[in-house]
Amino acid sequence: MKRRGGDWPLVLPLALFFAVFVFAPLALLGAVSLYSDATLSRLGVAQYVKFLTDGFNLGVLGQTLWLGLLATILALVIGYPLAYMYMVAPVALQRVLMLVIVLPLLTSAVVRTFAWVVILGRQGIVNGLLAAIGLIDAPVRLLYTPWAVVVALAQIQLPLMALPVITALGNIDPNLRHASYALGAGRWRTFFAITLPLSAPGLLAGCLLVYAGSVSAFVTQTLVGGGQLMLMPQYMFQQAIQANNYPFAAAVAMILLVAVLAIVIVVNIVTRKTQALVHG
Amino acid sequence: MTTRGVALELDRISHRFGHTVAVDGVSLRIEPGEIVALLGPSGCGKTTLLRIVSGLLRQSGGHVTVDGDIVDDLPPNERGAGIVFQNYALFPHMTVEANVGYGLRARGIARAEIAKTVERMLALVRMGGFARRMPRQLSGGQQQRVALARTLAVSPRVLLLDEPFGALDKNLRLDMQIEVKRLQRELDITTIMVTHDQEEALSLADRVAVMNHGRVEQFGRPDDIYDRPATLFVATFVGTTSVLRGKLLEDGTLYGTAGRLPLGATARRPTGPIVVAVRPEHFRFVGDVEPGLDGRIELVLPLGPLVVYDVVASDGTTLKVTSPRGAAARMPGDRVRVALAPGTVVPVFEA
Amino acid sequence: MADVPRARESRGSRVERWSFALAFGAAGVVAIALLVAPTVIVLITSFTNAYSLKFPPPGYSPRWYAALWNDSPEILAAASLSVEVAAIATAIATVLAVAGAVALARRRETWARLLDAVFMSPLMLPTLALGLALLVLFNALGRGLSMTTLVIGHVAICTPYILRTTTASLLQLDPGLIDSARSLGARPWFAFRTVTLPLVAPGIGAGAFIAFMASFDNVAISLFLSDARSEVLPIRMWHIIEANLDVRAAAASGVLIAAAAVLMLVLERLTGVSRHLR
Repeated sequence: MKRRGGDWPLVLPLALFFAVFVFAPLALLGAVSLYSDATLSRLGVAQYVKFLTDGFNLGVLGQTLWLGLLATILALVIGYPLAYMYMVAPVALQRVLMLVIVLPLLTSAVVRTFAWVVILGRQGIVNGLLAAIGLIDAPVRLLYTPWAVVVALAQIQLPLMALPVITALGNIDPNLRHASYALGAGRWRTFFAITLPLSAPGLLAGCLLVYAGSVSAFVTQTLVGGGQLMLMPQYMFQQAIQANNYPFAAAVAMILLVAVLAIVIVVNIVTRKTQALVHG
Repeated sequence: MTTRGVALELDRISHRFGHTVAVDGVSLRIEPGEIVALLGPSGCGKTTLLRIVSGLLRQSGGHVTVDGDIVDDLPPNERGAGIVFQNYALFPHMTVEANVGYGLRARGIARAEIAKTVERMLALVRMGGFARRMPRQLSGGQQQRVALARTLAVSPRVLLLDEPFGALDKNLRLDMQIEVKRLQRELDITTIMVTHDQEEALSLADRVAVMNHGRVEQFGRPDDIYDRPATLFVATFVGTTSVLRGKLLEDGTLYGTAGRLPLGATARRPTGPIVVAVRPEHFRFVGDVEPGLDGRIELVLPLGPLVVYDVVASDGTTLKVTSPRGAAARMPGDRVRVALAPGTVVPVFEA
Repeated sequence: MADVPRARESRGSRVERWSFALAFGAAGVVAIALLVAPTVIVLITSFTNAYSLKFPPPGYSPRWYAALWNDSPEILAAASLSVEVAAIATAIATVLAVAGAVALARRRETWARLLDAVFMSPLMLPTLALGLALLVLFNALGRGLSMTTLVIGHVAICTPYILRTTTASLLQLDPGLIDSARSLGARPWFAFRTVTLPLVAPGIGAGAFIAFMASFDNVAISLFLSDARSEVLPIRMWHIIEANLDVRAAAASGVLIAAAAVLMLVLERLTGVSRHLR
């Protein structure tokens, strides 16, 4: 098949748009972050120094990445069985299940987070259940804790974990499992030796999506985490809009970008290695 | 490692997928150490039957018996039925030796022991130097040998092969067929082989079960299948056949739209309309004095030591006739008369 | 066959099998419940007749939906603005992305693969940073925030979705079809319009739908590029929830969930959109 080489100009409008409205702004943001003070008078890396040497700032970054990691692990633990269940379900159930998994992706993070505000609130279902069982006398403060944020993030990002794993599981030749059984291996061994390793590409993709999403989840972090918990997205917003300290806000944004980009690159490299192994 | 061959018995096995009947009351008894081919067109139920024997599929009805015990309740990992899949199903993320040793690891056998068995198995299939390779680095034939080694390593009581040679190219096929037959004999392991290639079935198997629409039409030795087909399906599926229809006259002549053909001795003499299946090598060309079917040669195909003639009879039926090379050559367009070779006993079926 | 001995499955094997089925079955059920429960709880809560978000609700009534429809001009205005922005942004993004997909599909050159990665980056990288960056850009250019600036930001996040689904559809298209059309005398644009476009339309449609919803739901960009007077719906709802947990937020959520569900079912029928989200 001869490739028609002449239609590459069609990419120019999109490329131009991205150059002007994605690349340029980000470059500008990087430039702004290199000003040493809020009035943009001197250049320097003071903002980054300020960030990386201050305990509070490092704490914000660390807390953000740490909660992201916890949320990813939790999403994995819940999402993998969900994907596995999809794989073994009859076709009719699969169709329903797929729509149920996909629907949250079409609703706003605000709506999905609001559900957790309802669930974890003083008058919410968790407190109601605990009181009904008699474990507590007065409503417990569940909202505005780091664990609430982790659980909410994991549940909200669940579809992003389930979908790639479903795809990966679907790509595994069923004869491989059958061969494993016929050779004498039981279900558990077959799962850990065959199914899990061969689903690695999808697993990694899911983890990456959940991690990137969790780390930048402004709405969930603020509504469920509350004012007490300061994480990178809110820090960025507060410094820019409320404190009007654009250079610092820009530095925070760049650090967040780099943190996510680094994970993306690492996971992509690992995925490529496992792809080679998996696709025999 | 010694494998004593065990008997395998299928007792009225039937299976349906929803409303479709895949296997319809199949009963077979396979002797210890025997290699049996399940032969038939795609969709005839042979692969389903194989999966039922392996335990990967639970049959709707009937019993599978191995070495005297009904094994229906045993899951595939306890049946001792080793299965080699059409696409070999080697674990892509493990080396050859890890693949071959997999079943042994699953049994909790000591590492040193596993290493020795793996080495022996690889030598058995002549893949000794390939232990550290990955499956994707192997050719089709090599992958198949590793798949065989992997299955044999766990000393299965029964060996199941699903279209084992389908994915190999022709040259390799014969070598692998000989290899598998050799291994099977050496280990004396009861084997069932599924195939749609009748040459393969007839040359490799001790007995062949010809299947169609979920039923076994005939189960017997290859020469029985070839020379004495039990049904019209078997006669036409196995080998080349010319089919003639008509009525059987008193004197043993077939009287049909193509003309009159003396049949000589036949096993059966039904009174109604019949169908007769004739192998190409059982026809011969005769002169005008002898009774036979008149026709015209349409095609001449020299094939090694034989020449195959396509003869169109007076009613349009195509007859396939083979003659040894060197006999009087005939040309397309020649008018000829064909009759049966003396001593031929043709199978006769009710129409 | 009455007295043929029946081999029994070993205890170990049976335990093994059941423990596996039980573990995964339970985990799967829990997972599905966790996936679905929050949505169900919000829907139930939206029908409460009380003034708080107490669950279970003391009584049921559609009053909050009525309140949403009758007494919430600011919420309705926000919704209408969101629809407007999403529609315009999706339209622009579709044109840009489809052209880009056609140019890049099946290309192996490094520059093509690089561009593809760049165009897809908004899906992975924190768009919050992009929102701030655009704010800085517009400030630097001296342009105040407006509908235009908001739409520009949304176009950036819409294009990856359409690019992805259109590229997938183009890759599934048999290249022989275009070659046949050309050899029959069709000019490039004619062949594109009459052969490629109709066959790729479901993919584009699915992408446009996903992009529209993404824009409608977006917070990260809108956070920085909305101005105080005209807020988009997600931002308005965020303010409501943050400020006083108004039950109308539950009703609004109910409407949004229902709308998304209906649209999804319709689009699934037309374009098989769930395939594209995998």
